[in-house]
Amino acid sequence: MLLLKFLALEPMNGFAVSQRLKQVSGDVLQVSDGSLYPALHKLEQEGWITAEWKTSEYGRRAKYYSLTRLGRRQLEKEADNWGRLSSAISRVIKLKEA
Amino acid sequence: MRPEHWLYSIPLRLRSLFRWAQADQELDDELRDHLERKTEEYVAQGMTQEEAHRRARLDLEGFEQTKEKCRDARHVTWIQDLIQDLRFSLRMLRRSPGFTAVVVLTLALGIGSTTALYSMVEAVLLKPLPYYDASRLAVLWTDNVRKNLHQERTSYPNFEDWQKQNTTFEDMAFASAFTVNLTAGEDPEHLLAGRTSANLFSLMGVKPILGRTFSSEEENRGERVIVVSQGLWQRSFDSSRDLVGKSLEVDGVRMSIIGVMPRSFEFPARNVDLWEPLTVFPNWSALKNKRNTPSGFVVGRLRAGVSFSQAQADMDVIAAHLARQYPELAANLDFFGFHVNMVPFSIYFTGRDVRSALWLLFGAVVLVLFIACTNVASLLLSRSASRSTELATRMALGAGRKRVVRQLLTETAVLYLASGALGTALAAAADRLLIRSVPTDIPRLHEAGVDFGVLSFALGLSFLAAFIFGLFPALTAPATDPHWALKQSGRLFSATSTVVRLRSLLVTGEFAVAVILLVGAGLLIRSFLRVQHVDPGFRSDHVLTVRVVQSKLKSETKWRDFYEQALRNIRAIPGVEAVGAIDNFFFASFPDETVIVEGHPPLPPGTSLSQVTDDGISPGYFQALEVPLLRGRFFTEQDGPTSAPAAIINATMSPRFWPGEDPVGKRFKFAYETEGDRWITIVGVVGDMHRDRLTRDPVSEIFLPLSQHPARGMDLVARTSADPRSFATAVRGAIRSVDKTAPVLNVSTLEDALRDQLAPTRFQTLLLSLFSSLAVLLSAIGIYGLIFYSVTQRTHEIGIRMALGARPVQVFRLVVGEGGRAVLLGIAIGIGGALSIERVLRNELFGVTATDPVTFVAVTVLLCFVAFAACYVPACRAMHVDPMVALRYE
Repeated sequence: MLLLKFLALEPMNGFAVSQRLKQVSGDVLQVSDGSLYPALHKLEQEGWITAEWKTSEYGRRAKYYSLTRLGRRQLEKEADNWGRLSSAISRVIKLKEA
Repeated sequence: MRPEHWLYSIPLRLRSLFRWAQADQELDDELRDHLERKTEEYVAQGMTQEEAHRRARLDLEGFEQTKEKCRDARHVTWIQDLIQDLRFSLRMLRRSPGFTAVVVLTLALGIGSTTALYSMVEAVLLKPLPYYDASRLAVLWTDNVRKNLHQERTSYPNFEDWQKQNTTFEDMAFASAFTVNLTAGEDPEHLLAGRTSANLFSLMGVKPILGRTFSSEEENRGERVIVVSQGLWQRSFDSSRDLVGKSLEVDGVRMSIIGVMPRSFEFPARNVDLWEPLTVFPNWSALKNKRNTPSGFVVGRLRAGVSFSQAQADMDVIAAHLARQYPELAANLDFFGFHVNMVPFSIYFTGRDVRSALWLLFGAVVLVLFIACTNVASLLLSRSASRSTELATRMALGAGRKRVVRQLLTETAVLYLASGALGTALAAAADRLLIRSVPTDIPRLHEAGVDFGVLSFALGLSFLAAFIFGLFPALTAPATDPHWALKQSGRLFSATSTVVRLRSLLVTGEFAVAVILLVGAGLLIRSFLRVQHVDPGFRSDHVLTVRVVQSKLKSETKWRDFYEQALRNIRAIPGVEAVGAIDNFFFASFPDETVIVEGHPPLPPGTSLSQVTDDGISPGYFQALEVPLLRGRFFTEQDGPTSAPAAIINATMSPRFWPGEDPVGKRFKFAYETEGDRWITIVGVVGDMHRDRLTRDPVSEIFLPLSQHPARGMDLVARTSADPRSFATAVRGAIRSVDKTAPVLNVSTLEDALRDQLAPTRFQTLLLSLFSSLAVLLSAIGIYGLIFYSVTQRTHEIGIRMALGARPVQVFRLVVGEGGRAVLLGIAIGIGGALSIERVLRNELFGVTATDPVTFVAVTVLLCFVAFAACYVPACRAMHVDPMVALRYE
């Protein structure tokens, strides 16, 4: 879901995704580079993201991933689920404190 | 998954599959790019180039590993694996052509014969009948319980009552079948015709291919309209489209043609060529009210959701009701009764005998296939054992257990599919051969062939067999601990014991099945030999038989005069030694007449002991067939139409009706002659003839002189001095010279006619013998392979034993004993199995019981001998193992 969200903001390549992951989540979410690429390929296979080869800002050729219509729908669904789940969990936690 | 999803993923997968190299290159580029950037980043953080590169690689958790994981994410690896496996399998199989050939041939024989028989089963039994929803069609017979005749025709008034009173049938139709002569053309044609109620066609749900069928209004008005068969249309009218409106002369009556029925429409009888309204019967107004004249077949269509037993119960109620309504008829001993016997149309159509024979053969062939598969599994088992080093190496290099099993299964599947393809080709050839050699009276058999259903059967069969029998070797092999197997390199004790145990199990199974098949075949062969040695009671060589059927329009006197003249003409042909005629040479029915013997109490009816058949014959008949006269005299020309009624009886009848007496000179009369006092005097007793099938016990027979009982159709027999076939034309001419409109049918020699009668039995016996020989051969190969393998694997051990002082005989005993146990166990199981299927065979046998000890002993001895012979060669090899060589053999 996180990957989908990143790609929803703007198309980017694998390296940029890994950078962004590190920046945004700090050390809390440790997604190793070794798991990142298989995950991206899996998303592509599911049809949620699509890839094309582009020349990057530094003149390198790189594979840029972007979200598809299907992926956007999936993202909404998952975000929904997440929202429901997290609010439920936080309600439970508050309940304990009270 | 949603279709949208496929829209994305399919092209991607196809791309990964077919542009594999490109996709992989891109993956490589992508990761390399990532590595470079990461390295740059680390360098910027102050690391050295090498250090940065190392860290980047570490982050990626290994370059190649990640690549592999990405490939896995694409879900196409299994296809690539499959292709790889296939390639590898083909390479392996090519490398051992002998092994491949043996396996493929064995399997192809098994799959081929199974497929061939399946195609017959499918054509005859499984394909839906060409009628609308045929599962709801039933034939309703009158069940003459009193005379033990269960499939009798029904009278029209009874049919009308059934039709009106039943609550379980949508509709019922009435049809009678009889023969007619087409009298218009030069060459009179003799045909089978049906006279039916108009609703027959709609009830069966078959539409004419041209024109229309007749309506019930036309039926009621008695209009002379006919529907012809597709066969007749093609034969006599060249498939002309403007047939409708033309006319046809049937038995001298002009009928106008209104339609053509498709070839598949075969009711009330097979090969029926035309249909007319019931009301065309010249005596219809009388016939339709005669409750005690059975004249037609009744077919009904069940209401949806009604079962056969419900309908039978319904009909039983109606029968009971009718019996109460007509008590005097029901009490009449000669009346056929009101009981109804319902038979599903499919069984009526195919016949019970054919069904059971086909299923029997199919069962047998499946057993052969089982043996073939077992053999192959056994072969594969040893092969995978000798490959355990290879497999262990693979596993040591990181191949998963599942992956290895899959690869072995792929290899097996390749073998089985190749064999399946070859087997299907064999089946197609066998079909053509079998159909030609098969007795032709099996309905729809000619339609058997390799079609889609049969192909999918063969394919499914190959896959199923590959999976079941391929699992044996696949599951045993990788169980080996790679470590250990590698250390053993080449000696492979590890797998041996398991493999030998499994293989002996398979051999046991093979022999068990072989016993069942051989016992079945042995019983059939013994029974067939018995049948052939039955003395038919007459001399069948040098006899020509011809059937002649005359027009119905002639008087009985004309019929008689015709035959007397025809017989005289045939007798005049040089080379003809004797002639005779009988109204039905062969018959296949239960004796159905009851007689009253003068001075004796009537015998209770309902059994073949108390009922008789009667036939009209010409004076020379017994002489022509050389049937022995036991007492009294034959008929002569003096037994004319006006002389005292005379009869000849057969040897079986005499003691039943006149126990301890000389029947010559005694009198009897037929029970149906209720009025008058027409006593018939017996003038002679002749030997029994097997005119029904040879397998039946002779029944009581009464022969009456042709002059006193003229018949419309007769079988003429002529004893000739030379090959009877060469007389065919002359005999035909002699008959034609009396009346050129009389159709001459079925010209054949008596020997051929008898052989045709035995054809189905011969065919069944032949096929089953073939299957069981195949089974024995395959089992022999199986045990040979087992012993040979075990000896090869144990050369080392045998060497040690011999070095320690074992004598060759002991080694021989060791080796043979191993196979012997498996075989004996198999035979014991097989005998048990054969005894339990005894019920299946009982009806197919004649003169031997299904538990015939001779067959069982012979089979056991034969199989033991075969097994011993197959063990002998490898055991001898073991005996001559040189301990020194064996020990050095590493």
